[in-house]
Amino acid sequence: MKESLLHLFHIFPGEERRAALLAGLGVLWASATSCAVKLSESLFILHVGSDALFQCYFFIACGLFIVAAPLIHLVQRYSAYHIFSGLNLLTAAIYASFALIFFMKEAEAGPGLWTATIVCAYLCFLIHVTCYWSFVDEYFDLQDAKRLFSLFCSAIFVGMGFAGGLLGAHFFSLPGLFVFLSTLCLTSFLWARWIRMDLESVYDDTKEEDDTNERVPWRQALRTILSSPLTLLLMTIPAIVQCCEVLTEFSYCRALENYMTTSGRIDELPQFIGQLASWVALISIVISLLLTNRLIHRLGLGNMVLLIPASYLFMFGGWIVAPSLCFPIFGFTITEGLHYVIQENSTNLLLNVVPTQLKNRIRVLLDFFAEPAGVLLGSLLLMLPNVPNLYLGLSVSAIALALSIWLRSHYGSALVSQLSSQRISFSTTAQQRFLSLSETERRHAQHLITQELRSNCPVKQLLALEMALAFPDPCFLALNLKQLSHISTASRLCALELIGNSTYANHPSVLTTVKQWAYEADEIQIRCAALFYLAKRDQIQAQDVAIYLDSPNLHLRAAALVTLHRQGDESSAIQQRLLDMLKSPHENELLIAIDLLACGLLPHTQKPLLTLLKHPAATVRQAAAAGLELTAKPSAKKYAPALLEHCAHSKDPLLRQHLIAALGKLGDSQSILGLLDLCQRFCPRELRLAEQALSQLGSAAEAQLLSYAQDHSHHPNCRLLTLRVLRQISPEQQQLQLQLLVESTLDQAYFYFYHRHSIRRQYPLIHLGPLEDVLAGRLSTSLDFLLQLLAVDGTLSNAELLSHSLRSPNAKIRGNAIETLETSCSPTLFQQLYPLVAPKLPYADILRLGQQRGCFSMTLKALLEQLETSPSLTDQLTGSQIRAMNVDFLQLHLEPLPSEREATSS
Amino acid sequence: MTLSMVEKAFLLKKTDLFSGTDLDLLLAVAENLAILSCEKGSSVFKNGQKARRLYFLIEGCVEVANERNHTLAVLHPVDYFGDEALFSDTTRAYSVHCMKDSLMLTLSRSNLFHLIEECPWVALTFLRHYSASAGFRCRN
Repeated sequence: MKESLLHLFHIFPGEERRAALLAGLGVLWASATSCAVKLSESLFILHVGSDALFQCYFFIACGLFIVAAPLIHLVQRYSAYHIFSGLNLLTAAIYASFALIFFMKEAEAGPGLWTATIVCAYLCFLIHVTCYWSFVDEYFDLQDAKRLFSLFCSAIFVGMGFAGGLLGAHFFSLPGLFVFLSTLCLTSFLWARWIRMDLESVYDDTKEEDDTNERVPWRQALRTILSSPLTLLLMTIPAIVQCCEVLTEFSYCRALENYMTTSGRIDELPQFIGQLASWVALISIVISLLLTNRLIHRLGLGNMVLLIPASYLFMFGGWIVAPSLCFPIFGFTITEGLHYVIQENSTNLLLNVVPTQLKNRIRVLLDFFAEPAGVLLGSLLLMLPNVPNLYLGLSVSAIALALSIWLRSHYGSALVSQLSSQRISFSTTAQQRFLSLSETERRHAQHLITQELRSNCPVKQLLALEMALAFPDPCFLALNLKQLSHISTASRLCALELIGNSTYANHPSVLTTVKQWAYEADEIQIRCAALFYLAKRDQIQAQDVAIYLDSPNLHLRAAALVTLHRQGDESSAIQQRLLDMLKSPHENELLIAIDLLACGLLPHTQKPLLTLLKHPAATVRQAAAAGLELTAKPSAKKYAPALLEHCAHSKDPLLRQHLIAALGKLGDSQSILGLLDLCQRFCPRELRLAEQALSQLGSAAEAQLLSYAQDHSHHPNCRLLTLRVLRQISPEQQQLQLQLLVESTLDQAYFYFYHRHSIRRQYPLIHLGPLEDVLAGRLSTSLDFLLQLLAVDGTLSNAELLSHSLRSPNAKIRGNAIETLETSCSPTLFQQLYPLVAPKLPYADILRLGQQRGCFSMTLKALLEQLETSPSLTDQLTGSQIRAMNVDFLQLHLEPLPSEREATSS
Repeated sequence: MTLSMVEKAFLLKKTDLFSGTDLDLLLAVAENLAILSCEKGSSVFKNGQKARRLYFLIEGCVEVANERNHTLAVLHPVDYFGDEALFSDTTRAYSVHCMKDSLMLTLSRSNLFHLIEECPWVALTFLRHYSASAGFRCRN
């Protein structure tokens, strides 16, 4: 029974308490506030009449605008729990005040009081809706929310149904009813407190410790909102749908009033509306409990937003074509039920895709600006003379549907951009970042850089210079070069090196500045270094430096050597001097010699540079590697094996990076496999360089790469890299071959998935933690491989982002990554992928899914044997290791225990 | 209070953790730093709270106190704090209160782990700091 109920409500084992407490809270506040709304609405129609309702809508809209500003301030400062609790107390106080007023002056109540009642009741209800969802949102990620938010939605409808029943029952007098509602609000306050103490919120590290969001200034918030098309659409559509709701509400109120008047039962209108509300609530509960989450699962969240605008369109269209009472009742059902069950639920879920730090603010903006704007628009449209409200409704709902279709098309890209905004992008260069700045940001950044260049701190000065060199604006650099004359000698020498390695090394303004240093600087070190800089760039006449050929100053001697060489003197004397320098025991001399080698002073530069890779000094080795990168060209392919060997044996990441880049420039297709095999030891930056290097080989390497990717005996990381390269060099990869690879990888992933979850249950008495960890790790690698495969065949746009997000400690990020996978993949493929990425699944589902994929329970011995005979080296090692760790156990228990055998057979 | 990516990069460069970092990496991290300004007397986090972020103190002064409210340390600009519980996956073992109006840059746990994955030397820097302050590790 319990299992059936859990299945019915889509609750996973262990979630019962969380779901029940939050649903209970929904019932409590919804009973109180919706009862107040319906009561005040009925009383207003009874005492004032439905024709004046639009005035109330106008006041409600104004009230919401007024409430929005303090509420936005509150959501920045306080947690959702604190706001929700405060709201409950305030609402209880308001209802108690109404009870007192009606107790004292019910007979004297005029239209003003009835209007005040309806406006207050509406405001309390709407603020409660916003705060409740903010509060609930803290306990679920998107995937859980998709399953469970409809349950909370139905809890609200249970509350609304209870409210309708309460109204129809005439159990309380008017003041007594308000006292009861006030008590319900107080109970809701205590219930929320209980939840806070009892439940742990979902881990979300985008928030600060005090549970409030980062306080983003308004200007920045506005810019973020404006730059997100999905956020803008998400704020526009509810406004238009709200406008439809107002038009519908007005239309059905008028139709019901006419109907009751013609049938002579106008006094029964409040009871009739109350009964109708109860029925609608009941229908909404059923839809919410049984249909909404299943619809979300089937159609996807992007399609859910189309349902309500389409329903309004159908309702208004039908009402115009065939006027009858069923359309007003359908309109009532949409506005009072389906709108909340589907539209509000979908909007709440879609809020997970807006910029995270603004989520609560956007929720308030949506509920208190966008929706009231819709109400206001609706009431203004109703005030238009001689315009039939049904035609107005038809037009507005058509606009809502068109916007929803637009939002649906933006959904996938918004998910990806939200994921990438929460992750550090290491592959973006400083130059790319500066290019993406707005004009104002760029000016501000330039101002800061100039300011820091003028500072007295050498670290800041050099960083500022690095920034100026990365800025895609030579004029800005030219302006700042003047600042460099004020910095210290050591900093200026570093600056010279930075400039020399930058893209502006040969820029005229740079050369002018360096010339000034060479001829006007007070420090001899600067003058010599500047002269060498200019000589390397062919800016010095031979007669100016020829006298320094035997100078003890290294920079001057190097300047003379390079100038004479550049100006046609190929004499063996120059080469001999360079060879002598290469034999020097001094690091400084060697570094200068490497610089000269990079200038091409010897016909074959690679050989001496390769020799220097074995030098004991790290700086020399690194400089030699940089020289190799600089001078590498396809004609020197024969040195590729030597470079690979050094790359394999070096522990210096910087040196490896230069060598990988050099290998890329050599373009030797024979070295591909060697480089790929090395990749298992590379750090992410080296992997990116290797990817670039291998991509430079072009489509000539395609066949080799494909066969490498298909070979399970290679390390998974190397195969992953192969796929990334394939994605770049061969955008139209052979689909059929990849399909086979996808299938085999899925089988492999399911194997790890199934046994990772089942092995502990089979052998509860032995410690199999290491095996479980290995199986989990292998599952994760297989998943990464699958994502890369899907990126190669064009299904996914950013496999790295997705695989990283799926492993994030932040549950919200993981939830959004799964959603991205759902929007990108075909439904069939996603159904196969979902169990592998879902954080929690019932064990029965795991068994069923594994068995559907051909997995079956194995004894530990059989599982280890299978791992040991796998083509994957990692599997083989894992199998052997676990066997070695549990050798005693395996000797004793070659077969599973009786209880385990039963589990296996079942 | 707003800080641009470039401003954050300059501030970050002053911290021990990022003093040797190159520009590309510095800007990558700076772009993902949030700003937290706290008034004098307010708490940054309390003992027993869930740990979510790493803090770099940029302006002001904060006091680190244990559960008995005994001062463990007073931190000044370019110190960082809040890292221990992120690694041990436990709740905060100390409270931090602002002694002056303070400004902090904060990095999420997800991004800290991503940074370590990309640049393992960041983890080594943490290790260096921990080993400098520990005589012998407590095994239980």
